[in-house]
Amino acid sequence: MKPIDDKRLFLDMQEHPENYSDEQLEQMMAELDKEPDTEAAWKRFEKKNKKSYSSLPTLHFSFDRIAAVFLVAAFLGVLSFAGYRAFSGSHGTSRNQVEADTTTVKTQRFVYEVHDGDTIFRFENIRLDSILAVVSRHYGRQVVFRDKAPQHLRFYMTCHTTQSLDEFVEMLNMFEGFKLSQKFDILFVDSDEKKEGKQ
Amino acid sequence: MLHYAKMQRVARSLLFDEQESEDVVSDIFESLLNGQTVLVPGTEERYLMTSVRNRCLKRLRHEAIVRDYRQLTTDNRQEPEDERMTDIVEFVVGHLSEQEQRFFHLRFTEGCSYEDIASSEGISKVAVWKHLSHVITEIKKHFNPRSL
Repeated sequence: MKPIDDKRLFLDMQEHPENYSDEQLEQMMAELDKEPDTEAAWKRFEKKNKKSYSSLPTLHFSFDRIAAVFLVAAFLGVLSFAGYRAFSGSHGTSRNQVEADTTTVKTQRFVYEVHDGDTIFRFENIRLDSILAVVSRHYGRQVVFRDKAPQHLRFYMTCHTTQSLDEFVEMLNMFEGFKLSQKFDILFVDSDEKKEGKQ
Repeated sequence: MLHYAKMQRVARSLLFDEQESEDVVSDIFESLLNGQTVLVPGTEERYLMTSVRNRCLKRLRHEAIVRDYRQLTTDNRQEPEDERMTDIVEFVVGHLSEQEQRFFHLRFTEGCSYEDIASSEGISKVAVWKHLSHVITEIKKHFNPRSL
């Protein structure tokens, strides 16, 4: 397989597909859809990272196990990602119990636990946008607030990851003030007025 | 490496650069190895596919497409490591047709081949290419007009 070597052609085909024949476009698509040499790429990755990771005591994973294991490690990433800067207590986050199959992380008003694959999120008086940032990340969705007002609503709730996303959405829609809906990989949040009117 | 091929496909379709695509995919696995990200079983594929798409889109948004022409700026402002790219998702939802949104999702989130999309939509592969080209061009026009 010849390597992709003409980026300019690709860009031009993308911007001006009308200038190319169907055959040329199909050729480009075939090139883009070709199977990559996974083995070789993985070996390069392994080689590149071996040194730096071998020094980390908790990360003795062989690379081919990673897709299956997806270690449960530090939760700080999720916290920072979820915009928990407002939580003054978050600096005291405990990461002492990090293991392969059990993790408990506590903040003043937020608890995250993993027990044998079942994750529990407990939220106490947390803003909806923060809750959704955490939960949507778990489900691999993105959140779009089509109305900004519901962002500031606060809730107490417990979610299990054994719940499907549909069940989670259904549960949240029992609250008043907003309407949660799904489309593709996006969770949309609308204000309550649209709950009755639009859908 | 269950998802590697799909991830690579998405990256190549957006960046058209073998090395850059491989770098993007590697970075995602590196962040997992570094423990920067928590993944619970059952969510891996969605996370990986969304991450690769968003990291590539981020490059489209912030960087000139042709790497050779990229210029270093004095602006050292660090973007938060936000892989969600909400602004682009909002743009896609707000500015593109229903069909284009579907194509965007199938190609860049599900990692479907052009062939698969054409079959499922009942149109030619060339038509799929044209729709997706329009999607990417619109995203670039909006977020990184200098790259056009």
